[in-house]
Amino acid sequence: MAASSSSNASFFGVREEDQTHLLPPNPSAAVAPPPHHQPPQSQQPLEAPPQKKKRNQPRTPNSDAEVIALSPKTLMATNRFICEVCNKGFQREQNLQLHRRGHNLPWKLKQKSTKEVKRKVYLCPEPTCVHHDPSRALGDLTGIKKHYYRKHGEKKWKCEKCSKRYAVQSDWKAHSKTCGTKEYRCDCGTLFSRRDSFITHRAFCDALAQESARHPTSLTSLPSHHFPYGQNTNSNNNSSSMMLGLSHTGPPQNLDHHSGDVLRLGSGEGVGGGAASRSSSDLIAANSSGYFMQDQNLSFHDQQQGFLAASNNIKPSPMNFQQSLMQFSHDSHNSPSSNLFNLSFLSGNNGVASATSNHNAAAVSSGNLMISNHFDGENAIGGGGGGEGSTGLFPNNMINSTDRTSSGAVPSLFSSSMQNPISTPQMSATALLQKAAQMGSTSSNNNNNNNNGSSNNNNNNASSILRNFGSGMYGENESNLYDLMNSFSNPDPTGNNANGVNSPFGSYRGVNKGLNADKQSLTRDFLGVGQIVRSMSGSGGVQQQQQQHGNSRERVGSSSDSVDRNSNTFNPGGGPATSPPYGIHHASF
Amino acid sequence: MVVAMLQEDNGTSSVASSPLQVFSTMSLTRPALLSSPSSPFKDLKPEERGLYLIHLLLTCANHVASGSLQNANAALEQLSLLSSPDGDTMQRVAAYFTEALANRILKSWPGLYKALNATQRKTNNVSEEVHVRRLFFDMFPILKVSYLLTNRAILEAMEGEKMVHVIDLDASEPAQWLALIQDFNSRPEGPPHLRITGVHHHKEVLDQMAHILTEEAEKLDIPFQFNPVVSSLESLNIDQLGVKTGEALAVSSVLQLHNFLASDEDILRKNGYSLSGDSASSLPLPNSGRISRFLNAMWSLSPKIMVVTEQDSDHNGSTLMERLLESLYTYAALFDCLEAKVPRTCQDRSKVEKMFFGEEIKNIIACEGSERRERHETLEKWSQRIDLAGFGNVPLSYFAMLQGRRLLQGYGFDGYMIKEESGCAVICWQDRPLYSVSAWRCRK
Repeated sequence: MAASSSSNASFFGVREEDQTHLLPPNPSAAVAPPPHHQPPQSQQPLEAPPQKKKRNQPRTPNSDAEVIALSPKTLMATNRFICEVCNKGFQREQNLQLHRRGHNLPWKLKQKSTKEVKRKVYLCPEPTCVHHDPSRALGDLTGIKKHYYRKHGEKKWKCEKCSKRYAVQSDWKAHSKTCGTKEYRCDCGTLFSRRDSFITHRAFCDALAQESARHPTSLTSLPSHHFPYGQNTNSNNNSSSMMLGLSHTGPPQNLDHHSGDVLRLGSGEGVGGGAASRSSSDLIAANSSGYFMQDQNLSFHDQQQGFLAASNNIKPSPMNFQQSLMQFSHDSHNSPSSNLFNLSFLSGNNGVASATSNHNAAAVSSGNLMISNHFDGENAIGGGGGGEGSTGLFPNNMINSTDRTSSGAVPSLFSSSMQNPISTPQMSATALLQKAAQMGSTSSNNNNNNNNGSSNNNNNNASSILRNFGSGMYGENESNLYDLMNSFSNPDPTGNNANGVNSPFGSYRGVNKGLNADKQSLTRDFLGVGQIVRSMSGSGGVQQQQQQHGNSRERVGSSSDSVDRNSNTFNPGGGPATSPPYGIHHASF
Repeated sequence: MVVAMLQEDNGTSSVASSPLQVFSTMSLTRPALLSSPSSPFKDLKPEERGLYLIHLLLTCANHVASGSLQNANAALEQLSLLSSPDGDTMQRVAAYFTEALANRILKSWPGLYKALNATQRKTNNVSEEVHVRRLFFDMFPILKVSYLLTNRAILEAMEGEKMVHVIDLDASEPAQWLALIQDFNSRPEGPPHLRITGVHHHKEVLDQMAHILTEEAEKLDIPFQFNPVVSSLESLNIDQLGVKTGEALAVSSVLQLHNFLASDEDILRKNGYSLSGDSASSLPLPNSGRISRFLNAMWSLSPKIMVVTEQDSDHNGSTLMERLLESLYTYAALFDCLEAKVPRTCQDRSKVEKMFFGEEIKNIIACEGSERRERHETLEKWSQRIDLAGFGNVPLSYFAMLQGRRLLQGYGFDGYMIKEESGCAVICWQDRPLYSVSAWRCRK
């Protein structure tokens, strides 16, 4: 900044000398060398440009610098030095002296002095300005003048072509030269006159996201975004590592100033509201595309208000968590809501959380991967936590879905009652593939059980579960399902079937294990890769799992009855409440 | 010819163990559906239709693989009815897979195939190609993250270097190097003498890039030189790269290396190896392959850093079924990304789906031998390969990963995430790995 004023350098050595002395003696104050890991400017539109930081860095007031406070009038005066003969005004005294020479008046130029000229720094007269403070005074007169015009002056100069206004004439001139000759418009509507800034912007502007934020489909995208998440969380151990994406990257304090990571990390390691709110302010600063986020937020806000209000009571289900995350990152002003991130559910309230997961895992093992489960789960959790929290989000739909499930009716997975009021949530292709794989594994599962079938007790259970998972496909046509299963009555007694059996358990167990679970990805699981890791031998493994399940159920039960009620919904066949909904594995057909 | 091609997939039984495979053999069809395939589709709910489409695709692929064209044809007919390039995600994915499967069948009648494509002009349209690539860049954060991580790795490796030479093996996007120029400009020790060599098969693309980069460098007053090499990567002569002694070399490869995998088989074939389906993949990564030779050539230039971005998926299976299953997952995820971001009616979305992903799918499913270029392989395999060629892994810095994650976050790319896998970055959609970025240096 100090150096930039040299454009006004006079033609005299004296002046040049002056200029050099205007540079602060302390180089670190003038141009702070960027920190070692300085982010690249172009790719980090998220951050304030580094130059700004440099310029605004407070410096220690130099004892030998003379602090000069000029009045606004002096700063605004264009030609302070007036020739007494012809009334011509000059900006600098030196120029006036030269001019006087032409009138044959006595003149005197400052001599190049050998001794150090005392450095001068200038204050901005505007009391609210950061440069009003002596520690941040500007290093030269032209600089402070331009600063005062630009920041606190009237923008008198208007470009006729684009109506952009400037306070400093030279700025306006510079602009006028290029205005209209080069213009760059990003899809997001932003206009650029400078190519480099356009390219930098364009490279990382997500005009499309903005578009979809305005477009109603943004609402569609909400469920399709987040349901798979929830789904994964329920059905796969991997999810936990996903949510806590960063937990292995370092201790939380390192991350405090990095918004996004705090959001994730904080969730896992219990970084309190303080860190979260700090990060939120960071978000504001960092988010160059903040405006469009806010747009999106607006559209979500209505729906989520209730949710937000209630969210403290909700023991977060994965979906809640996701949404609160979203809400948080989309509305950075909501920093008070950072208590959303007390997130005890991952550490403190482990019992409830894991119980929930188990609960959902049970649902998953029944082949029901759909939204309804998540709402169910949510309800259960809400009940367990002693709060009516879950009413916040799509309350009607929730009630509906619960009713449906608990009445034992076969839930249509995407019945309209469960849909987002505004648009239809679509099952993503990924989710469909996973469901297909699950159906595949469940059916091979049944195969196996055809051979090993033992318990008749669970017959009801199994068929109802099958009805559950088949419902989407087969409607009420049960016989078709039995056909289907019969078609597998001659399975290949190989590891294949074992995999099939263990797959639902595998995921169930994985949820129990939480973070420690192996990192096998869900989809690959269903492709049968790496199931060996979890594969257990025969019925022993099953029993073990059931035991585990029982334990977790006890925990749930102790927290609230409603949970029990809910888990019964997965036993629509009316099996004993204590019998796990895994009867399918003992079923014979 | 027909027989050879179709029976190449004898190995399906090994894949049939996957639940998805089992799914395909489940009798999903309602009697009503079978008897009159035209009308009842209307009352299919989207997820029913989706599951049915998956079922049909797998069934069809099974038929194609086993050579029963009658059945394949029947499946294709239903697939065409249910899939649509403008429908929901599954319909779209299915549409391109259907087309690819049909193409595969058609290719077994070379005469028919050629005749049908006789009037189809080869898509040599440069601007179109660049446009589609640009759309991919715009709609996905993948290239952005890749560029960011690449640049970061280069910057860190080039710390203190006065002469830097960057070779871009796919010089199609100036944005990456604009960013690098700016990064170099702001580094504490000042910008180096920078030379960028861009390899691309279209001169126009390189010209444009040269213009943009030179302009930027002039503005920033950085000593800069752009060295265009008009050549396809396969026919690249290493001498053209103009690597000089005394300069610090960086190599950037974005979605290029898998192209070299194609030729491995050809070489084997020339050497008289039989190419029955399953033998090809069971061979240890052959040293004689073009990929090894290319990597060795890169190694001989002793770059300080080589950053590789590749698809992180296994689309190079020897049998059709393997490839179909794997690619179905991948492209379902990629189409889901679009669904989450872009309205269905968006023209550009259709373009990316058709001309970018659709072409890849077609290549993976319908092509064999040297024609099959989209041989995406997993990070693990790439790591082995690159390691074998004498490179050591350079873990991406914590700071780079952080920036990548912030990029995803700051621009609302929720649903995406970056996983760290032994020093490399894996860009995922939900938990599906899609692309990987890894950095390497010459092991002495």
